[in-house]
Amino acid sequence: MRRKGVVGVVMAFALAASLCGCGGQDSPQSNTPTTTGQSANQTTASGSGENNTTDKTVEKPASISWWTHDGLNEADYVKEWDAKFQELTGIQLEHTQVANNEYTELLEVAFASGTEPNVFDVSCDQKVAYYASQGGIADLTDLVKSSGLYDKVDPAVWEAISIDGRIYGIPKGEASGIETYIRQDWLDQLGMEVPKNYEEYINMLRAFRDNIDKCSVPVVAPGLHAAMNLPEFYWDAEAGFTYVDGQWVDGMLQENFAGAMQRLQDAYAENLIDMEVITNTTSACRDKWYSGEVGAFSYWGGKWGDTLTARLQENFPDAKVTGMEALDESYYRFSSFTLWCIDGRLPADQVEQVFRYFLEYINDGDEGQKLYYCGVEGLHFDYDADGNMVYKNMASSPDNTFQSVWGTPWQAVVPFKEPDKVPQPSDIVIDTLEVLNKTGVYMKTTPVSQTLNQITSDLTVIRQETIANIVMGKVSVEDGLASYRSQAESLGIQQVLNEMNTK
Amino acid sequence: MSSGNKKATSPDNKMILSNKDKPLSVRLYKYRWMYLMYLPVFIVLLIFEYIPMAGIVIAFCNYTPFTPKPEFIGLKNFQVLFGSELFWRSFKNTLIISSVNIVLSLTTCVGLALLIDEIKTVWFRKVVQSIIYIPHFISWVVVASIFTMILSPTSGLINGFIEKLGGQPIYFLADEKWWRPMLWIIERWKGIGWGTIVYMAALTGVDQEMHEAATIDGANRWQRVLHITIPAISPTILVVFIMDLAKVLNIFEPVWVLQNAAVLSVSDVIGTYVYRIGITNAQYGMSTAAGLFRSVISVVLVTLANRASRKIRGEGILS
Repeated sequence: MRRKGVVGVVMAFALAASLCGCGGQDSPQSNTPTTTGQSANQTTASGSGENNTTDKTVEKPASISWWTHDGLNEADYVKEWDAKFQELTGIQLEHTQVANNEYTELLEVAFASGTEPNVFDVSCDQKVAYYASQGGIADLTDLVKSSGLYDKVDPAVWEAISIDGRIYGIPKGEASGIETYIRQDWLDQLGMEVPKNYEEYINMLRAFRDNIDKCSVPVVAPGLHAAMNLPEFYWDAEAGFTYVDGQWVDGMLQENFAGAMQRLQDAYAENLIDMEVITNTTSACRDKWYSGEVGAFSYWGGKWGDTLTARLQENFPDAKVTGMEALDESYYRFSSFTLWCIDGRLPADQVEQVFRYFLEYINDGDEGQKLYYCGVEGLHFDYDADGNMVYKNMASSPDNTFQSVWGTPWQAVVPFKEPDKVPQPSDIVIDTLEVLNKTGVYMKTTPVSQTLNQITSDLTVIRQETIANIVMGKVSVEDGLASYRSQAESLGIQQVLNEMNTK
Repeated sequence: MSSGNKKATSPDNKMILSNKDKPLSVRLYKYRWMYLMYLPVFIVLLIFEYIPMAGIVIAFCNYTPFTPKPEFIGLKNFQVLFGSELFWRSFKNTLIISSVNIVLSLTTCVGLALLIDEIKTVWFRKVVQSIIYIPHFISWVVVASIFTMILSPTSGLINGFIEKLGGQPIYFLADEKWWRPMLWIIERWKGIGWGTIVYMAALTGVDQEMHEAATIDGANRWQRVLHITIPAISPTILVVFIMDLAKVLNIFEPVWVLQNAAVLSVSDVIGTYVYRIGITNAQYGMSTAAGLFRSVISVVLVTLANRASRKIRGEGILS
């Protein structure tokens, strides 16, 4: 009896401790930015927003906590960068670098334990809508508009990142997009032009397959369900929620989706698409491209255009690569934006402090923005004879120069005051970005739906399964999509759409 | 109490008084240094194993990391879970994949241990053991990459042989017929060596005199294995079996790194299902409910196996 009593006490203690833990979150003790409390450090922030013109002082915080999971390697003078930030702003930056593959989980754990940072990034295609609905990220709409930042950025960017008209973060940079790279030397060998429409494109792939000995894979892609990876087949179809004529709809239940599936199924049956497309990872696709067995590959524009060409030419010096313009029937897609967000649990005055002294500073087009994108003089960049900033070689990889610090200068959403002075992209990067920008379309952030929160996982699984089964020829397009419709309806897809469109 | 007093007052009984019969305080004092040494372990167990168990309350709550107070919703998470076809599909897949895994694991590991036991040259035996242990130390991500290459329908080694023999290439990892057999083969490749360790230890305890006697009686090698070695190590086989049974529903890593959209109908298991709804979907209540369900099933399986063992062999490993 006594032993049972002891066990009971232990269990009761355990439960009580757990429940206390839950209750403790009632008043979360997050990493609140500390304020200096010195009037000398106060500044005046005046705004020119359309609705919220303000003119008031905002106290400077003594410290701001910031999480990053990409950008500079630790060996590439991160501590020096943080010190420079403090030197320029007088604010201590509590900067934590988190492993990229653990970032999402660690951020949620931090929220659960009330230790989340003041500033962190969230991707629009993953959790911005969810975090916003839960109060995890602060609504910055009024601050963005009153600060003048709103007017410096392309309205299409704000439109793309807004949720129900509200802004929850500042883009880390312009969204990257995927475009299609083609082996120009193979086209030359075959006497063909870069295709302009689907028919020419398919003929080109057939010619690669039949007449180029080295070509074992006319088109490579990592998986089948992302339209941006296979734009030539998807055209305007999407395998997710999409905004059509002012309404959110399930892209897989639209008429154009059946056409996309038929094109993919036909191409797969003809061995025009890599047989291993289902199990391909992006790195496997890149390796196949570098090994010279691939004719066409849709991948990130910008810096990657440079890398894909250079790495291919290391193995095949005569190889030429061209960035194909989107086919007449199709368009390229920009990825979702990633936003710098502010902890939604901070009191409004502290949110404003962090916004003013961090987010606004790194998007000021001048000193702060240069620090963010170009780094520290003498470590990340030097000035050339003309006074232009030129990236230096990396400490972590001495044979390579920096291409970015926390972002790439030519992808900044706020223009630099002296754009010619910051590091410039190479010609290949300029070309690939030009191709992308011609038809590139921003993906709109999916609005919040409580039902979707519950069924996302199951819905994603049945979508991926349906597409794989159709493309691999296990079911017909009609049967596959009919089966999807029935499964999606039983999961409550209509309820999801109702919730999305009600807002 | 009265019988206890009698025992204590009887001078004869004092001689045979076991530790169990002494008061707790006496026993605590007697073994105080042992308990002191155990204390850190106990504290660690309490903090990291038992207190977190209280987290199962989340299974009955609507919980997100942002909710100040989890809202108690009773069995609603279980209702939603049990109403999901994909959950039951993952449950079925888990049982199929894991039960075959257990059978394969037992037979291959015992078989290999018996074979290694037959190697008489010590240095060669050690080399063999070292080599077969290596795959255990390779991470599942790397193993998946290796086998994706080996099983590739376009450039893989296996399909190379098949094509040389006039066959058509098979997309092993994207074919519903082939995916599970491939998983089992890969699992065995990685785990067979490590799995032999326990049996090798058990084999060293087999009485050699029995073998000598059986040899004199004319038993051949196979008969000796069948009638002496295997019965001798059967308690170990039983322990391993019951311990494996406790983990039967925990399979996650190999499935996660090898599954793909084309084979989800045969590869999705509870572990991957829980991961998706928990981490990807942030439905912690549902995820915990699924995890709790898995634990309950595991406890039931272990209890049943233990009872069966007691009935058949007269002993189990649990009290």
